Amino acid sequence: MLPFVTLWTQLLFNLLLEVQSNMKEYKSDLLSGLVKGDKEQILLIYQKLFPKVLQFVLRNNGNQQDAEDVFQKSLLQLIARFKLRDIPEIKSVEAYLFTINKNLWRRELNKNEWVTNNALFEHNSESTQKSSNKSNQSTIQAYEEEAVAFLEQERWDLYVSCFERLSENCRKILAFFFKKKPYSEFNEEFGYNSESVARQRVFKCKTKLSDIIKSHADFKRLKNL
Amino acid sequence: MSIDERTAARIDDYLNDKLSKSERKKFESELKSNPELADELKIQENLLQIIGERGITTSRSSFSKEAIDEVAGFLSGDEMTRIRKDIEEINDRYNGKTSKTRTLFYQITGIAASVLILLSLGLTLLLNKNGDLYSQYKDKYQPISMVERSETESALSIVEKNFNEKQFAKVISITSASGDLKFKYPVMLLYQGIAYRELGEYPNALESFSEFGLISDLDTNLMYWHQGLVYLKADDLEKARETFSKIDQNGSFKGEADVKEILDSLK
Repeated sequence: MLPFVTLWTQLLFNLLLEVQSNMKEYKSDLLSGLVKGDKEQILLIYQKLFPKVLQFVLRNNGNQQDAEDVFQKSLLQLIARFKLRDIPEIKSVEAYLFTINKNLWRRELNKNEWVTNNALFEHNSESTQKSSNKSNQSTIQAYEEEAVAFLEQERWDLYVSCFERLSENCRKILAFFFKKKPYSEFNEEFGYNSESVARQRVFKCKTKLSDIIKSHADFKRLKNL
Repeated sequence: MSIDERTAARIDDYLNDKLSKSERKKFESELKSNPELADELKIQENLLQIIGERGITTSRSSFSKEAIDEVAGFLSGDEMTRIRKDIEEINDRYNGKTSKTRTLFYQITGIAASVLILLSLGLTLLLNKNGDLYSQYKDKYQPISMVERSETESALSIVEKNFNEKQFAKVISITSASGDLKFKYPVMLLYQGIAYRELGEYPNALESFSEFGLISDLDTNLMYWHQGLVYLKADDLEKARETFSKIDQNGSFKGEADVKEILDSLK
């Protein structure tokens, strides 16, 4: 009986290793395919992720065209990040791309006016027909807007990577704090005796996080002016 | 250098709009002369957006011109312009659109194709009897609308709208991303199956109809009807006959006469 169980355990272990290695292979194929501009890999990303992005945009005051614009911009941003910088280790390509899409769409919603909507994609196919100063100006503006979105995502990644370096307890405390939970809930969740204890813990964790952020090599380049 | 607890509390109060008018004015003038305080305020503001999940609200002026120019220069370069075009093409391909640059090509090939179609029409009419049968029945017994008149923005109403406009790729995109909504509205799976069938993705169409059958036991005959049409379109006549026969055996289907006609034609 024992050799039989051992054999099964070994088989199961091998299967898990195979699944893990296939996952890694899939992730790196997807990333390298994306960076190389491999059309089939990009289409695969569309099939896997676009429906989710479309749902998100539709639920947040957008339409199909908005979702398509945002998705194209997100792919372009990720490719540019790979080519221009070292990007943080990504646990899942889909999850990271979805974060970029959410940020890009929220950014559009927060903007006062919809200046750059698809201007660059339109420019590419119509640049031979339209070459007025006005359209050139709006194209430059659109590239600058994309650059700002690129830098914002870089800053976002910097903050998230610093946040992940905190202890689990500090992360939980700060997540409560920045989501504006009342201090009474802190006492309940973390078992503190009083509000002043909760405030002190928040202060310590915030100070630690702020120090990590300020000592990051990219902080000066990405800090707000 | 780290800030003290009192300053941290003032930053929180400033960000949460809890300072009086005079305190706010004093704080803002301190910001101008104290860069460390200004950095700390920006860090806390960013954390509120990122960890507090409020989304980004920064502006162009929050980055240096050099930083923006560096990235904008790269994005407008030849390499990224080529990639941008490729992505646009893939987007059009995925969403079933015709790109503006390809329109002329399609117009020319469209004329050539029309000539070929006319030449081969006679042959097609002779050979494609099942295709005719499919075209004759494909629009019959569509799913019944479940959308309330007031519901214009729900996922189901968007699916129905796209379905009625024959935007089948969109129907598939939305229904695939609808998660558990299919349990609430199994009819979504019917729309999905028909969309797959229209786009020629037969295995996916059959899978959607089978899933519909598992979730909803109210419209089994309707499910068989649409499954049968998949087999008919895919030219699998034996399976088509088998599936339409199930409706015939079950009875109580509004299109019983049509089913009999199809079965007669398939004999």
